[in-house]
Amino acid sequence: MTKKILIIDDEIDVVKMLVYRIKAKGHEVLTAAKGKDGINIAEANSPNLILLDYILPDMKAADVSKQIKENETLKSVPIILITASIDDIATKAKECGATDYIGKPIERDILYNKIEKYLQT
Amino acid sequence: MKEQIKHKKGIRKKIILIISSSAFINLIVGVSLGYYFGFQLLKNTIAQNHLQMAENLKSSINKIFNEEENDLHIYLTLASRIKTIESANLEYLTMNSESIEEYFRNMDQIWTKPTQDNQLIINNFLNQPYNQRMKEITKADEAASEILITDKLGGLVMASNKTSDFYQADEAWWVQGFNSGKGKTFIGDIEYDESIKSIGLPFVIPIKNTSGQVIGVSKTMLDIDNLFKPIKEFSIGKTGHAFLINEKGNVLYHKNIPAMTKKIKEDKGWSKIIEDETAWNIIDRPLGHKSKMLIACSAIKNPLFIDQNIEWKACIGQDTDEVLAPLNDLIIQLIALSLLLILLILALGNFFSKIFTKPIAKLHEATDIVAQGNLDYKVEINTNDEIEQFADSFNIMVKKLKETTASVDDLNKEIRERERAEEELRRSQEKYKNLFDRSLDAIMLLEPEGNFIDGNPAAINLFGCKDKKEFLMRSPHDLSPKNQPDGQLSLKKAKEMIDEALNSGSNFFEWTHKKIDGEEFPATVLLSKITIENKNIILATVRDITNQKRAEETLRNAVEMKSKFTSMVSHELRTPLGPIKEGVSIILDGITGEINPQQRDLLTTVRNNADRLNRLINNVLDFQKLESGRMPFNIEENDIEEVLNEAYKTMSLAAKNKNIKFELDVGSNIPKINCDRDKILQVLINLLNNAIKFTDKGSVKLQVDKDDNDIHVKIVDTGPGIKKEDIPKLFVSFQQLDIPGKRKEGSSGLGLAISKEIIIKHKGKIWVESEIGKGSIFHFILPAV
Repeated sequence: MTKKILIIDDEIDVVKMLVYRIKAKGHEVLTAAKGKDGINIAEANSPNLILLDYILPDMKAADVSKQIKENETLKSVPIILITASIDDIATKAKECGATDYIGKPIERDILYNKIEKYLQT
Repeated sequence: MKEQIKHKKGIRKKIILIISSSAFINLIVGVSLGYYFGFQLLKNTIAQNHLQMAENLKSSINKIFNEEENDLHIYLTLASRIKTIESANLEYLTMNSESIEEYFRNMDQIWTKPTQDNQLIINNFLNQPYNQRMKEITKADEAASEILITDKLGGLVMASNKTSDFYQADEAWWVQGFNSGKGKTFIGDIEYDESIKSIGLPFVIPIKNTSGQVIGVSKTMLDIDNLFKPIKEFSIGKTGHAFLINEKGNVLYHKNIPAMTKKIKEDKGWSKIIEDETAWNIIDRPLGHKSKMLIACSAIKNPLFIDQNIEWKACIGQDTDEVLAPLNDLIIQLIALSLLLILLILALGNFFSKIFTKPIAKLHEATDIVAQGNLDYKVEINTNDEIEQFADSFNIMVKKLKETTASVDDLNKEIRERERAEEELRRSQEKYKNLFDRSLDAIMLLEPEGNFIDGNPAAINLFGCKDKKEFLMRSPHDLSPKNQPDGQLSLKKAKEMIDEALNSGSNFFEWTHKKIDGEEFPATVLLSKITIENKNIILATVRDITNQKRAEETLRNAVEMKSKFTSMVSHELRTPLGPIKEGVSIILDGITGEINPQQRDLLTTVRNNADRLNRLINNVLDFQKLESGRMPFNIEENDIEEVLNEAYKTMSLAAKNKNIKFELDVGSNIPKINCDRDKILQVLINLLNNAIKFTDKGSVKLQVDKDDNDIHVKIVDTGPGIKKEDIPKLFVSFQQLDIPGKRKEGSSGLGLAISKEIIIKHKGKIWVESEIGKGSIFHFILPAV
């Protein structure tokens, strides 16, 4: 069953790779380079999983996450925080209300494991 | 010393001398007095004895006299005698005085002219019966040698022998005896009697008739040898004899001296004897004797001749040599006794002197001991006298001396110590003066109020002053900028710093100073409180730290740059690496379509190098963070068994690929520990990775045990082992060892260094045991919860 995964990240190369990977698993991928766009797309498309970059050009990841969670339909959508920083990823994830986190560079197996885990529910 | 020895026995000698001489004087006096009084006593006793004998003699003589008188009296007053005498007196009644004279003349003629006729008449007379009777009496009576009786006119009436004449009234004795008709018993002087041819004592007794009238006078010549028989026969010892003297000192009777031939001399000794009734004396050569004599006399006072003032003395004389012989014995005895006593006294003197001098000798000895410096010596004398008192005083003196000596010693010691201290102080002052003057650090002295008292050349130089005078003219705030780097006013802050130094004793801080030309420089300042004569002074040491500051700044910048650089580099390097790796992976995963084997081989090489680069960057980044302490640790209670399982699972494939045996051995009762799970996993994977990498055959074993309260993890391999000299380098960053048959590639040389840092951060311990050819065992210990 095809799921929709939203990637909110402004690093185009990273997003490109993710798109390849996720599509390879047969899922539909939506992308947004800015927080605001990400929120809009999420509200419009009701993705099953959201990969949210910590650093965005227009908004703080936490605010993006908060606004998505405010939407009733999106309230239960898992959000995985992705970040290049290795410092306090867990703390940052908590701060953003994220379900889980993945460090950059994203490794294939970790990515697939996490996607599989959160798409099952 | 010699002097002392010489006098050592002086006191003893003196004591002996004192005792001996006093005893000797006593002895001499005693013996002399004893002799004198003994002599006197003895002499008296002997004399009394002699006197007694003289008394006895006197009594004997008195008795003889009385008996004689009694006998004669009885005999002469016989009635027939009275009758004969009275008849002769009757004849005178018929005659006148002339015829009486005639008669006496005729009768004397007859008596004195010894013609035949006359002789006849005399014989006739003598042959008268009463005369014969009388003669017989004189023979019977030893004492009486001749008796004659006259009538009242002196004419001879009766006679025992022929008398020298007839008429007796012209004789002195007759006059005395007749006593003008009153009659008187009379003793005449001893005389030689012609008629009896011997020395006799005339004893005249008047004859009275029954009516008491004197009718005639009798005269009896008493033979003195018989009369004084007791005297004659008296004798004591060899020289003792008796004699009789009269009141005039004439010798009446003496066995060797004819009567009345000698008169004792009227010297002192004699006169005493003559005057006293009984007396004795020692008289030098009396009566022709050759030596001294003891004479004892007793007066014979017979009533018969007391009227005549006749006083005889019965005397006993004896040679003094003989009499006083016992006295001489006494003297000899006394002398012997004296000698004995002197010996005894000397012995006693010696004995007592020993007793007296012994404590003195002891004291002397004690003095010597004390003189030699032994002030702890105590002399023990228990004589209970002045010497003991002296010994006590001596002991007190020694004690005082010791105290004094001790205090003198202390004083000397103190003086020496003080001198030494002064010397030390002087040296110290010199030393500190040198130190002060030559110190490269600026040193200065300040009053607590902040005014300079002194500064060393380095201080003067530091602040750019010409000389000390210029320096002392400045106040400390002249030598600081208005504000310190933290914005506080220098004047206010300086006061706070000084107060802190006064309170705590010292204060070390950094300070910005200003030279007199206005140039500012950073410095460290050490303020120390010094108390001199109850006055607080601040010693300030100022060190210009401009160079140090510069170096610190440089270093800090370098460190910061390094940190920035490494994080920037690693981040910026890593970011493009992601898409490189990912892109290659996607192609290799066949997502973008099939690839031929050559393409796959090349892309695999690209991916591997990208992975390696990524690991390298990660390690550098990790190490950088660990080193700088910026690596966050997420310490939680973890089940180590689970971590080990994950590590085992993760590394199983790699071991399998190398075809080596890979074991996990978990001991019993492994407790939970506090750790950062991911970091410990990182360490385990690192160690296992190394073990598998270097082990070509055999096995790798991951083992965990409980060790006391700790977790002991071992990674045991059968690899080539590590050289002993390499072991210390093992955990040092960027060290890569030469492992035989191994390429160096694929390792940053940071894995073990990072592992060590992680274990240390967990308060654990990591080390290795290894033997070339056999393998290695990596250990680490983590403390349990």
